[in-house]
Amino acid sequence: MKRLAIFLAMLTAAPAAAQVDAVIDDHILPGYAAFSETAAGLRDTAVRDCGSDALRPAWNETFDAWLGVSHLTFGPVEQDGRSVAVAFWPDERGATPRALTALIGDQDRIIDDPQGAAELSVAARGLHALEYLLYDDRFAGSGAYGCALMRALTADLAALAEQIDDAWRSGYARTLRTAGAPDNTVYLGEREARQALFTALTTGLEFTADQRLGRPMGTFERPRPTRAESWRSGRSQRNVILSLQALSGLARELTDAATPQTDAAFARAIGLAERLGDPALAGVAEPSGRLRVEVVQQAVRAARDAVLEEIGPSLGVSAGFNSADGD
Amino acid sequence: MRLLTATTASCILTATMTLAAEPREVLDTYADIAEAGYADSLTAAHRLQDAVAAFLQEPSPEGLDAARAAWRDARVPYMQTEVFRFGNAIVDDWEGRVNAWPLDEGLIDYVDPSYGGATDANDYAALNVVANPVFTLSGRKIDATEITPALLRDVLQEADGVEANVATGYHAIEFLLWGQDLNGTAAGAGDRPWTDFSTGEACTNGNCDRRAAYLRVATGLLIEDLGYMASAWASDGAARETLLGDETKGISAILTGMGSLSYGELAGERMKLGVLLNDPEEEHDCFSDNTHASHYYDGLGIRNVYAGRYTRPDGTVVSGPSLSDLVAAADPETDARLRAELDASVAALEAIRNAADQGMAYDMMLGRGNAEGEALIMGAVEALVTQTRSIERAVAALDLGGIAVEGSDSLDDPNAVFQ
Repeated sequence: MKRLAIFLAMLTAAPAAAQVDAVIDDHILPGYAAFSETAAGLRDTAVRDCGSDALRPAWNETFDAWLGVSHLTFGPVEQDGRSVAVAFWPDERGATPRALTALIGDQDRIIDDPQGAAELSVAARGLHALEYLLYDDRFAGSGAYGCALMRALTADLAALAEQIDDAWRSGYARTLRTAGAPDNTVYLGEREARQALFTALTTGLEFTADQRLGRPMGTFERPRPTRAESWRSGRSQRNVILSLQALSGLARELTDAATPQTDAAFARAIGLAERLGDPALAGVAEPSGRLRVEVVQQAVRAARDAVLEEIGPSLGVSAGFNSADGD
Repeated sequence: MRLLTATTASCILTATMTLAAEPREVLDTYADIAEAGYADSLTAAHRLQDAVAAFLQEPSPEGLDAARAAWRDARVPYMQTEVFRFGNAIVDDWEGRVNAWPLDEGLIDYVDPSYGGATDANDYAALNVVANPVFTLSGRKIDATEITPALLRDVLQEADGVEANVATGYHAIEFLLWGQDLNGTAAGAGDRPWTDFSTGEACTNGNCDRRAAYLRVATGLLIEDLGYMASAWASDGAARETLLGDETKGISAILTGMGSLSYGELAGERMKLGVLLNDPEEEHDCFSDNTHASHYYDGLGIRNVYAGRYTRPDGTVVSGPSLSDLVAAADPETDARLRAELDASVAALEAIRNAADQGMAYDMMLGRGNAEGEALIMGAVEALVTQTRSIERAVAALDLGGIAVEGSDSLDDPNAVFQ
């Protein structure tokens, strides 16, 4: 079995450059374009109407689009902390409500400056800060300042999304495509491009298993439903499903080799996540509900194992370091 | 393709055995540096304990200053050992006892009203054990009349399963010596009055005897914990034995430690996030304003293990065949690049240290609109991220197969999967 895998790896290692192109053209660029488009829509909606009822659907569409690319933690999104500014989570010490309370309490006029929101703490920016403003009663009656803040933060998010999209189109896609070329100082060999994509795949699976599912699970004695990602808007389960679908798409583009174990593992994980019937993952508070979430988590980890054993060797790479290394 | 690479690499490894470093010798050097680093940390902690004992015996401003200086000195060797944490499970499992961070310091002692009380994430963020000899924790009544090692280690540390409940280690001691830094991103560190430890009428902020007891016990625990780790790296120690048990895994552990500390931990969690949050509490040594030094020695530790060379606080040097020698034999270009990048990150961290020594403390660098401070920190972040890519290249050059992949139940035996 092992020998067979190595043999297959030898057969498939050569045309991998075509796979990098496929990932860029069919996964990365359309993903960021969709994110930029939905974020612009959210910004425009806020200009017309800054009320929660009008903004919630546009915010949800933007979050959906972000999940299509949230696992891509390298390149333009890594510069200037953009990924953290888009999605500051997990928020271990409640920095987001603290920062928003301070802004509103001070009626801080920095947000009147078109570039002002970009100067704010990342805890007060992006999708998760907007979720507090849209779904948490504490911020419901923030009046004219709340409205101005909503407009500033949605404009900031749209600007971030546009910058990332532009940077990919105008340069970074080429950097990744030309890995190993003499003038390429980022990717010194063609292999390094494959490794960056492979690391994004495995890291994304680990993030969904350990954070999106693992954080609310807590321990058996002490489950933590309010540590779920975006539980306030009741889309924690949806985030798991959409992230898995995006990762499954990346896995499919990344190799031409047959990957029966990976395909089966993704299908199982996605199926289990879809059947969970627990939008905010609040079910973890009860032993049976926690068990159901744990089954999904195991399935996601099984998908990661399949990817490591099946796709890694076919690309001739292993996972590199990721930002979750450490604590 | 992969078979060919593997064969070539093992030929090189075989060839180098007679020419340059052997993996076994490289691991010996690494373990020797660990042993020396933890022994030096232990020695420095004993000096801290002496200074604390003298201060508590007869509280005075000079006594508190001396204890604070001893704490700063104690950080110098310890931070250089952080690189051993990732990649060596025995260190990682133990590390939380001595260097857990960030902490909700209100667990331990009084805090300013602006700190607030319990948070969404931590019901015990403002427990204040110094002021409360009896309290309820996770539904259990706790008698803390006497402040004991067991109380700190087994009851309060990570109380209620919350990591921010840090009751032991360098940062708990730091909080007791300095108090909260209430200056935000403006100049100034924590300024706890020395009279917080006075006896009788002179006691400020109440419960000085309990506060003194806490400081004494926490310092004693630090010594106990460092002693454990120093012996784990001595000959026949568990950490050394594990490392030497499998040469490939051992070399992998060195590189894993270097890469994880460079990227996820130091560049990400400790540096970049602080800048992005503009939050002075996001500095590693936030009470003492010693963060610039801690980050510098963290970075130096990464270079130490690659170069196989550690300069002890007394100036003597521990050195031997290095990982650099091993990588150079397999891929001289990657070795040269990585050495240059490690020098660059140490230089960038040194620039932060110099700026802090000249008056711009690390928390001031985090301030909204401090472009110079942000550039200093982000320069070091970039250097650390850059070297991480070359650490990955070194992994590839030695054909170590990257992170260790455990056998997978789901693939080996589908029926074993938790249904």
